Amino acid sequence: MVSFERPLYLFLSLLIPLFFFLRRSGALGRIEFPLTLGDWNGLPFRWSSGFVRVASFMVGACACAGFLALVVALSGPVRFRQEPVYTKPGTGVVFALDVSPSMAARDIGGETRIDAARAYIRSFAAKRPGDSLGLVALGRDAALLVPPTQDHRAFLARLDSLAIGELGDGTALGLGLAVAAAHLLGRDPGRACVILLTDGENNTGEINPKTAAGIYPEKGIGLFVIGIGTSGEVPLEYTDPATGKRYAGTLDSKFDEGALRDIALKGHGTYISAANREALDAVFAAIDDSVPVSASSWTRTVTDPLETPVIFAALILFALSWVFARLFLKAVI
Amino acid sequence: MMPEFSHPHCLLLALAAIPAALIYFVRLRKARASLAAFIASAERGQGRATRVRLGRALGYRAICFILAWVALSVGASGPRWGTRLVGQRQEGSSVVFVVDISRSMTLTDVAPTRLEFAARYASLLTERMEKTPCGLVLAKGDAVLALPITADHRAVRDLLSSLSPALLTSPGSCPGKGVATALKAFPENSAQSRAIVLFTDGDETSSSLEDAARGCKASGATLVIVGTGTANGASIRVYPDSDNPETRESRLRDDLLAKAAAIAGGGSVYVSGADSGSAFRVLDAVLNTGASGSRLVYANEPVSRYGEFLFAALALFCVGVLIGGLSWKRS
Repeated sequence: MVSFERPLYLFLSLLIPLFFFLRRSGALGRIEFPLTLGDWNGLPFRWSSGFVRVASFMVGACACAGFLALVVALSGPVRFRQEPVYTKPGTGVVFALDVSPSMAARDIGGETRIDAARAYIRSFAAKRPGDSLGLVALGRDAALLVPPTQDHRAFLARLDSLAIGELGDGTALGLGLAVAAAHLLGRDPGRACVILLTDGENNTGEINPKTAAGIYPEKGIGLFVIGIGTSGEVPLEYTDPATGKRYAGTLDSKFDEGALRDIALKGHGTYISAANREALDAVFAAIDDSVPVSASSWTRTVTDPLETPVIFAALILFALSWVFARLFLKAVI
Repeated sequence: MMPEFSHPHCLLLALAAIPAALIYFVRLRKARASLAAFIASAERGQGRATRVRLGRALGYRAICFILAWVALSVGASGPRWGTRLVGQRQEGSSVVFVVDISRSMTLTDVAPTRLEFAARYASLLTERMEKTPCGLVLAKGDAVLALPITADHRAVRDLLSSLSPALLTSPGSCPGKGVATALKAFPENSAQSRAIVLFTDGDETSSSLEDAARGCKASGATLVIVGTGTANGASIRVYPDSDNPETRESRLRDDLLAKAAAIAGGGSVYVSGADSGSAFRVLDAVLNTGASGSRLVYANEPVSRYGEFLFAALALFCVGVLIGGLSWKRS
């Protein structure tokens, strides 16, 4: 809803009808040089061209609209919106994202698995501005890339810069789960959870995934394991960031759903298989329902000024009026 | 006071008035010459007076319109000057540590080195700030947000324990950039108080710290500067990896740092890290801002002045129309 900071200025728009009234009443002269052309005792020549009439109307309309825009801008158009603010860190959600090369398989609605995961994490973050979001990447090793933070801009920037193969070839699920849990310790039970997005089975790392998952119920950390991707032959293309070498071909995709289910079971969590976009939609909707959204402490009123586009409109309209008058009406001065 | 502009490129639009004015006055000159005979015959000998009035009317009108265009262009560029106090409700506190990791911080006039001293100092502070989310910015010739604000103090301490000048390649020392980066690190939707704790020896290669301190004042953030080093200082090799043995002295610039803290105003303070009890002063400054319960703090917000220019444009436009119309009517 648009409001005005200085609404009284809107009355200045009445100057437009006043101008026409003064012009019509003769109080305000028009700078012009009337010259009647015609045969002796005949009908005088009149400007009857439709184009001239339209152009004349356009010049006047542009000038009036420019004046009106100027008045509106002067009145200080603003939009008020309510913005939630937070004073506490909120629910901690750490995404443990598999960045092994197989995540470059293009089998989620034409997108790679990692891109689909990224898109869903983005939409999840947008819906939960008060949550503290963290990011753990797992490949041959696992690393905390972003600790749980309410600074979603920093979180999303790191998520976007995440590259396939950044942590080597392999899937250290156990390490990833352990690192994620380590950075959620000390939070209130039920206010912390880890969302593991992977397409593979644990094949490296010093920690067994079940051992890592065992910590979760003990520390009150929720666990969601999402098996992302399809089984069978899928196209794959990626560049190894370590060597710069480009790989392209097909991947015989198969992952041990049973093992992922066991990990979720051990962590008193939930395993969900997401073989396509619809399944991913359902998965994130389910997570959204079960992870409590951080309540805002209060809302504040934010004022968005809107005058800049209106001033530009005024500038353009005045310029058009001036140019039209000289270009089409051949105004001398 | 120097005005600032939200869209400075819009000022270029004012330049369009120059060719428009040239075209106008050239054509006016031609029109006056062409109409001279016509006016003379119509006015029966008073043509000269009419011509002068016509010229004045058109000239004044053109000047008013040109000035109106210029005022409108300036208004479009979003001019701002002066500040006004804006109240902000806050509750709790958040802290961003800015650690200067320039080469002068590797000097050993405080044990073990200035940098390690700063890292341990910051690490100890995090232990005392249990419920306060912290972030970490590294500053050298440039500055980066190494860790966004987080309640995960373990991550902050882990990173603090591995600080080294090698973490950033940009040469030089610019703690001001670190403070500016820290100011952007506070999430917009957070209502916690904002405190920046800067660890530096004040050995700047650019003089950006005072500007950054003004930025703190404008946004209502508290700047706590912990001087790391000694007044006696130590020698640092200018060309560390060459045979050139040239050295220069690097001392703690407490005069410069105290001045920056004074500019930042509010609860901002400067402490020398080596002084006993300095950590308590830092904690007081940082956590007092986040005293229990919600409170109202004031930030200096720049005042937008586009309204004045639009009003001037409107007035000039109306005066132009009136002058032209009335003068012509009289004549």
